[in-house]
Amino acid sequence: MYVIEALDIVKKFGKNEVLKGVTLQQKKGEVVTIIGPSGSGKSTFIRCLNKLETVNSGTIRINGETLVETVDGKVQYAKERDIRKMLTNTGMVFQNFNLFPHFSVLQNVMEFPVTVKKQDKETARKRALELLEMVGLKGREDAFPIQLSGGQKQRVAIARALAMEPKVLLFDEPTSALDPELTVEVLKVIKQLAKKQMTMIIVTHEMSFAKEVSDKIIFIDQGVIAEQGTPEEVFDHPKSERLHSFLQSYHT
Amino acid sequence: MDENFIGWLQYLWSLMPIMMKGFQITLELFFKTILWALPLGLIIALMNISKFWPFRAIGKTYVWILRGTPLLLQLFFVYYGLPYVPVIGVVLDRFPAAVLTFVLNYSAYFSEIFRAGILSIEHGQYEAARSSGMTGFQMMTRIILPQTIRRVIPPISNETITLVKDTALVNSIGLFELLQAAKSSVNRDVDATAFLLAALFYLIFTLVLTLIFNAIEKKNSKHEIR
Repeated sequence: MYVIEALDIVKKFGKNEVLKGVTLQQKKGEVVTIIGPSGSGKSTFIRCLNKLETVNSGTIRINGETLVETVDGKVQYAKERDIRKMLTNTGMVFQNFNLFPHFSVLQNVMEFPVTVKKQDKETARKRALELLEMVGLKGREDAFPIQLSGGQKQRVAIARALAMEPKVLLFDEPTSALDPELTVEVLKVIKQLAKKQMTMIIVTHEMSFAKEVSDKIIFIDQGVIAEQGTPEEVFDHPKSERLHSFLQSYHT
Repeated sequence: MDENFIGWLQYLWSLMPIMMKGFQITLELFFKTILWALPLGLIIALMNISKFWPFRAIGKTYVWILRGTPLLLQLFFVYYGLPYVPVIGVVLDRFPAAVLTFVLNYSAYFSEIFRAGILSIEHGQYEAARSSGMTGFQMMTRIILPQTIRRVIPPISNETITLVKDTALVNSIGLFELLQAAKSSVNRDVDATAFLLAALFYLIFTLVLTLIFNAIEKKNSKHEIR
């Protein structure tokens, strides 16, 4: 069984078709990294997986449950209540962190388990403290997001996503809003998760990180998967001219 | 000390009972309006951003009518006009008529403040809440509205101070309150002192409100934002 199964995803914004049939099947413990030029549709794709965007056609299954399927050309989403349950299995980390500014760091991490999963506060608190320690923010639990650096904010956001014990973590350009220095500390946390066999889909522009951490690389260009394979295949032996020139742009 | 001045102070003091009586009505009108207009305004704001168009239609019309006509006209309509309206035809006493009018009018203004506040919350906040599996209700009550309320305190405080002064308008339907108390004293004694005293009451009241709102703003600002 796949943790995430996305088949033939098509997404249009008005007349502009940004995804023209993208397929991804991901097993438990796999780290998949999606690379590609800006505007290629990679962020849109990852956002379809947790229904931040609705698809125009295709099928998505999360942990075996059908989020959306297309039958005879008609797109059918699951019931609202079932969708909410599926979403507890997919944690999301955003480019702009999207921490809750009116909550402390600890409250940010506790919020989803307590409110969505109705976990009791003491359990949620203990788990939140463990997670904050794991992302290197022990002692900052009473700070508010405004008092943190970008890198610290993003590490809180990762802890917040992990607090729901998701089956898969989705990263939408998690370091694109960060200085190189702060990028390092966030990537370190993600590498740590990869070591622990956390299933992850990562959209990123950090090529050396992608090479190091991924089981599989997907190169999306102009709304289709132009090439995919192991990091060695994709980075060291790109087959297509498009991938080749895309990778070239990172070496200059 | 000058004898005239002492006499004036004594006169001033003699005005206090009637002024206090008037001020009490003003206060009551003010607090009842705030108490009802704030929650009603929030409900109207939520209707105005609803995805369900009939709610939006009702909300927009409500705001359009109540913001688009003079408060004084609304006051006259509720007090003098309602008895002649077919079917409804209620006769309200002066005070309930005043409260009803102010609640309707101010809820329209408050609703626009709330609406703008809700719309000012970054899209990412909704996405973070949604992507975790929160219900729409949880998202609003836990994430969106707590941030909205912090942000709308300055415009709400501004509107609240306007309300203090607008309460004087109920004078026009003959309701006894602070301004009426002053006016009757001025007419009776042929002396402008009571107007000055009324002004002082309004000034102290608005000053106290300003200080309270400043304190609330300061307390909240430590979490804000960006």
